[in-house]
Amino acid sequence: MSKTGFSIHKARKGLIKCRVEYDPSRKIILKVDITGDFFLYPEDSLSVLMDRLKGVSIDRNEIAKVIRDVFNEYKVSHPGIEIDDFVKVIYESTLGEVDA
Amino acid sequence: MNPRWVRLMLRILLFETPEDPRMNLAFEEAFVRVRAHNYIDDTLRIWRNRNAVVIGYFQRMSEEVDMGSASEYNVEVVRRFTGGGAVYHDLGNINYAIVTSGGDRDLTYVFKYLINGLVYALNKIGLEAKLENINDVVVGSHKISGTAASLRWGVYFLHGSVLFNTDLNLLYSVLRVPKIKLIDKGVSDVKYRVKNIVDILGRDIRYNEIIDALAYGFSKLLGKEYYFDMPSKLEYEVARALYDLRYSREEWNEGYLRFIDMKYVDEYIEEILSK
Repeated sequence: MSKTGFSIHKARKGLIKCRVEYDPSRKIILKVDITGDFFLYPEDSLSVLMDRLKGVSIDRNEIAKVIRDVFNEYKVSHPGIEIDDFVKVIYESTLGEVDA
Repeated sequence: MNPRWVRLMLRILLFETPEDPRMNLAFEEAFVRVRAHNYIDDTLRIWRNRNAVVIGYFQRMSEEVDMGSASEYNVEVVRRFTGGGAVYHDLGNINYAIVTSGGDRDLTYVFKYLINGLVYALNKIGLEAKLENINDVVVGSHKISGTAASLRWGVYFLHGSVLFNTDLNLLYSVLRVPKIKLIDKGVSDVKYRVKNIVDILGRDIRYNEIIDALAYGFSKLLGKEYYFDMPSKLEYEVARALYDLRYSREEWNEGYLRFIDMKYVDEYIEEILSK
């Protein structure tokens, strides 16, 4: 059975809101939805990132690797917001549960 | 690149549709894309909305806007193509948008460089404005302007809103500001952070004076003389298409449609621009 968790994290520039649907028994991410008032360029690298996180293990290093790969591949410019900010909010979303 | 025009001057557009925020944002995308195809000079656009909330590309309307309050005060909500946060627009808030030829610099550079046009403009009207935390323009401890930027379509683009005499009570009422945002700014409420320029200056300021100051500021920054112009037929045509296909659509404005979900829009616009 899947669960859905939510977390908010304030980066130096921008607030990241994250909702993650995950499988607690297999410890994998099923779906990620990230919104907020941050900046990323190219903008649509965020959609790619959310797609690539599907099926990834709930593990800080695994999550960080996916983000790093997408950021390198798309040469993402991310003023005031770091890879660790995204890792934190995604990982922490899998620690709790909210009404979906 | 084969420029269709010799770009020696800064073009200024005062085109606005204050009663139709969605057309205002459609035009915002349109003139940037027309510039990206080298049909026009580097352009500064100055414009207003009468009563609207504009949310950032990565935001959701439901998360940022108090919909009850928006409906009570007839505030229209529209989403822009750049990142950043939600802003409230009335006629006391002036928006500017600058597009120049692109290059290989990143988003941080675009903020750092282009935002100086606004700083020069504010200095001109007597304010000691400075840049804080990448893209906040502050006077003393007060934030008076928010800014967003993009490199989409290969140009340098920056736009922002400047609080001259906005109804801040309505702003607080329609924008949902999360408490977490305020904690590290050392303020307990958004109202202690944002301030109108008229209250800082202690005098009224006319729209013409603001236009002159922005023209001066960006002209100084880019080292170009400026001229006032009307929108081209092409800009109108692209804006109309973007209005129909993107900015009038609820799924776009609610924050659910992304550019990659709307590739047909880009194809259609590029077709118009390649004619």
